[in-house]
Amino acid sequence: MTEDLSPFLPLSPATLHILLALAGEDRHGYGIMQEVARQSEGQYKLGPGTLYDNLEKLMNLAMVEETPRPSPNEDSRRRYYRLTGLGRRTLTAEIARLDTVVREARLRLRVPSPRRAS
Amino acid sequence: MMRSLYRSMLRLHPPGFRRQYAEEMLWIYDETAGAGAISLLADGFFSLVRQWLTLPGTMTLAAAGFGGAMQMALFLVMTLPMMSLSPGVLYVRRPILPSGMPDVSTVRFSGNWVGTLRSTGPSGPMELILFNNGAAWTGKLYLQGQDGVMHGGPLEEIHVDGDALRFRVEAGDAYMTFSGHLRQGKLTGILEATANGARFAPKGRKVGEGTWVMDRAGARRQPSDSLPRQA
Repeated sequence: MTEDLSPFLPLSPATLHILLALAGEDRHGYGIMQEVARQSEGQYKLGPGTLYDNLEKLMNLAMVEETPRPSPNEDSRRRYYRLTGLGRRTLTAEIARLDTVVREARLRLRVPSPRRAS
Repeated sequence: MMRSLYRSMLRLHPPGFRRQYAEEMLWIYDETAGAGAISLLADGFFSLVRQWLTLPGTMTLAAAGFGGAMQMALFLVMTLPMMSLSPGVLYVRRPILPSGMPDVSTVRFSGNWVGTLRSTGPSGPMELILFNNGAAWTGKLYLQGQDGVMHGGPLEEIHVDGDALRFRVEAGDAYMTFSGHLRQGKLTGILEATANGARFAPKGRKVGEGTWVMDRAGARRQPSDSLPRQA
């Protein structure tokens, strides 16, 4: 049976970047912010408020879950988050959707704009 | 100063969100301190607005508030021409909303407590007024002293989380802590009093305890603003 992920799509930019940041490895909140800045080459900066608003939603949707700290010596305020299976599938579906959009956009932008009648 | 401002803003978030993420957000603030404190404050502010707007029940309350304001406006428009106004003083009795609440932002309860509090006897009536200005709770608690008069004091450290309510009142020579739940329109809970060290017992010693049950009530007479001494 095919899973219908369409209710979750399209993802907001913040959600997309958070899921993408967690796709590679488990990270704490600040790590997610840094990874988002790195991935977007500093063009998209996520504040803690926006981050945790979205993390809360993603955790409620079971796309992200909290995971134990890799080292018990770490600052207790650091909590780690990881992508769940649903989160990964949703991210994959969003990337496929964006891929279609980008392909279509490239195709359209190559077509010269109609000339005005002089 | 900016850190204190940011921390204060975090404290204004809904309790669930605050418990879950406030410490972590403050940690991130510390990690990124100096690099755009203003933008972090702005981000925190927008988060605060979003959190309250998306909180279940907030929109219902907002709609009820709007309805109440409209009713109040209508009431004033219809009543003012009939009232003889004395300069600077106007008393208008609040209209009752369809929901039965006297005011969407002010909730009153009255009932009784039973226990061992020494200034009031083994039991007696009590009244609680809670006020929410949209960002924080304030309120007052009134208990009947042995003189038969309702004495009251402002609530401190008010915590409202779902149907749970906890607050503290400094009552003469004691701190009184109330914790309870609102269920099926009844506010029930436990009262504990500890000496504040002012007079009759060392600070922190337990000097009273009891249980309380209150129902939502209408407006009452204004009692005095002092609680009787725990003598």
